Amino acid sequence: MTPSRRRRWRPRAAALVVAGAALGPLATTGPAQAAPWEGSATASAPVTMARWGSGLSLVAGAGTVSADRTTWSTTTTVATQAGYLDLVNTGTVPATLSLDVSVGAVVGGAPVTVCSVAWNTSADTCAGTTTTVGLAALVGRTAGSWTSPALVAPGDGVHLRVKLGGVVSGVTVTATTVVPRPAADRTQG
Amino acid sequence: MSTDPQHPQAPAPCARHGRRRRLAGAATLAVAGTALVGTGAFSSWGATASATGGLTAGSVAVSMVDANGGSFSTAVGNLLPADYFYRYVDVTNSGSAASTFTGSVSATGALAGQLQVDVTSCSVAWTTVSGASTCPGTTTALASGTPTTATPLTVAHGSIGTGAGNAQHVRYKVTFSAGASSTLQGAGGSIAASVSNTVVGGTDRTGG
Repeated sequence: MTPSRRRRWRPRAAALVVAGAALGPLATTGPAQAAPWEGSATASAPVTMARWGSGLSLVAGAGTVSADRTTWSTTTTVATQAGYLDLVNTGTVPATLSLDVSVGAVVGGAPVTVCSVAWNTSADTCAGTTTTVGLAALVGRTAGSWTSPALVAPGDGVHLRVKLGGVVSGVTVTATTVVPRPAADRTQG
Repeated sequence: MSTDPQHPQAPAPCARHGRRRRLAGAATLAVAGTALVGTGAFSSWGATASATGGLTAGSVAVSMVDANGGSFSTAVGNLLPADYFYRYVDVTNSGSAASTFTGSVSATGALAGQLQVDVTSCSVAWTTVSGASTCPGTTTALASGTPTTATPLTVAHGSIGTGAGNAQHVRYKVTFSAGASSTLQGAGGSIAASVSNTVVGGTDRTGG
């Protein structure tokens, strides 16, 4: 009995598969590739962005500072008294600091004076230079703004005295804009 | 029986014995000659020449040497928008042959994407005069861009010869974005530069 054509081809196909498996890897193996040699060098530097801000700090006398340190205020008073506070640079870079003053006066006023050094709160004197914050009369109140004339170093502050006299219905000092130093070449740090 | 008058004790050889001895001597010479031929022990005149070629494996190495009195790795804190700083590096091919080098600058952390980098080479060493970065020779812009963590800035350093004398004098100027958001205050990151080269053999070195 003659084996079918399919049966005759079966061993040949198997042989072809075996031959292909054996020769395939040989066919894909070309000329040996030279292994690349690599040289490299790296340098890196950490960088950090600055922070800037300001806050009020009561040194002595009247008034209270808000929890977020943005305002100092007193309620209505009829007696003459003073509040000493610092406007502090809470950032990490030198900056100019600013504040607003608002006085609701019935009779009298609350002049705000800046001292170039810390106030002597017991003697109520300034050993440095004083600058008075100009206030303008508005309807029912007086108000003014002040900006430090020079950059204030981080951690340093400007020293304020708010002297309450007469009958005032409330005084508020608010720390406002902080302008950090101008951009600069930081190659040296 | 006759005797040799010089050697009266030695018997005189007979003609038959003398022929045998000659035959034996001839045979001995023949055998010895054959042996000499077989062993190749002929005397000969010879000349030998040899040549030696010195072979040395090449080397691949690159270094980034701080230059112009600074250090690349010096930290820069309290950056404000539009602040900038320079870093100077001499890229030195410490390998055994001139090669083409490629570099990259990457930024990581919250400040990635906020640092503009300009890479420039100078034909001679950079100097700083009165606080100003100066190239006394010719400058070549190598790359500019704002790298991110995912997309470093690629720097084409080109071909650099071997040795410190052929070092490429590179300046990196890093500028913090003038429009950086204030929400980034206090954020940190890093800027990194790298230089590398790859050399593949397989070339015909017959000519040297």
